[in-house]
Amino acid sequence: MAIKPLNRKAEALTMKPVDDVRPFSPGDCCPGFLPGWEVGRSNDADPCGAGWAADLPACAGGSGWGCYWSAQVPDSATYPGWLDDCSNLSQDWVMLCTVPD
Amino acid sequence: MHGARLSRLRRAGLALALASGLVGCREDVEPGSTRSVPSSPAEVGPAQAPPRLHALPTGLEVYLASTDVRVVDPVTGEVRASMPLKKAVRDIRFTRDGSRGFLATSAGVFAVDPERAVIIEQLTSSPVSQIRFDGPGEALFVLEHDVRVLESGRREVLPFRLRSLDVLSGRTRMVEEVGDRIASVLPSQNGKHHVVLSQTGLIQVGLPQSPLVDSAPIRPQLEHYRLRSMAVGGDRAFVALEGEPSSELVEVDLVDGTHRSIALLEEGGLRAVAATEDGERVVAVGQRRLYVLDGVGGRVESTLDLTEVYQGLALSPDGRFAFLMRTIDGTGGSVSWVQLDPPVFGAKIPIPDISPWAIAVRPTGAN
Repeated sequence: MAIKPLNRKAEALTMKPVDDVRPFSPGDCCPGFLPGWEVGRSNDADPCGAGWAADLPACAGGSGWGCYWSAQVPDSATYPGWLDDCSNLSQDWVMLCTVPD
Repeated sequence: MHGARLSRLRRAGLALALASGLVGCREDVEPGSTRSVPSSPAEVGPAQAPPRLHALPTGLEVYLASTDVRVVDPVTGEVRASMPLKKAVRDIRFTRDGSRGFLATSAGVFAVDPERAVIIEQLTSSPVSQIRFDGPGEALFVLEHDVRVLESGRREVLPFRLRSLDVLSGRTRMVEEVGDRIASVLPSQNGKHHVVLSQTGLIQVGLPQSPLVDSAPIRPQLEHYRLRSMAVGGDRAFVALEGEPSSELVEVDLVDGTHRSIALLEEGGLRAVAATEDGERVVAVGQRRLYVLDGVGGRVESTLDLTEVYQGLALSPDGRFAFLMRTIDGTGGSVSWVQLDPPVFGAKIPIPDISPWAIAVRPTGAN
């Protein structure tokens, strides 16, 4: 659905070049944004390094210090047991609960 | 006449040369040999032998854990034991003689009997972020906190506390409040300073024997930096900071409370740092590079480029080998070992059924 400007101010906005910001938004998930984390320094869509999966615990279970990845994960201080059912992240990720409970 | 005879001799010589394969200055190289054949004089040079890879000592045990624990023999690559727990493990520590292990989990501290590879006792019940031994190894410092769930469903994270457990009896010796959102604590011992890392990125140092809540930041909270982990060796603590323009280690002198930065000239990830007990060797793993540092001099001695990204690091008790953990690899995770003198990649061991995010090496009598 295209956004159509209805006045001169809106038209001026649409004439501006589009900033290169790319939210990492898979499917219809609602990502949690924190500016600067959507796209990494190397222009990769994964801000946490070598693939989201490889760093999920660093962002979530391992330290959980406010890494705002596309699927925002709760910090381990507020939800210390969030990963208790995820012995194998590749297979058990479906067990991850949504928060708040 | 003379010219014709020479011509015949020349032709004979040529035939002889052709038969012996010496024509064109070409030597045959047998398949599988390593001798290189230069195609031009400019490429002739001394051959460089690759650094020698030493074998791992026998008897090592690597503990890897997610919500379950796996015990790996890095020499054979076998998973020697499994300990199901179903609680997220954040830290693993062993007594100096390796006779007892402790797991820091989302449900408290659990004690492990490594000889039987079983979990024998639950010592505490609050979520634990970190565990650390005191100098003599007689007390276990436990960084824990509680979460209060209000009627509205909102969660309130209560102040973190440091509990000291007697290693032999498991009883609590003392409990001290540390503060809000604490990432790591090194309490004061034997007249040294204490160090408190906050989840907001502050490195705080306190006077010997002063309360942990009375800590002062040693540097302003910087943007673009993120605290990763802290390793302790000898009289020094090493804090890994990742960020821009380059990641660094902040070394805190626990005796006088001063600090200095060791730049690693790497932009981006700095996942883990580990130190030998005497602090003479420090190892850090970055985005795709491993750093071996002189812990006393505070300088990088050698590096090793890595082809994969690792999330955790542990050292062998003798400080000669590093074990690098990948949380997600293949169907589960993996652990790789690296020789440090000089740095040479050893081998990768797949851990097919768990995604480990905690790693430790158990000291045994053999190493």
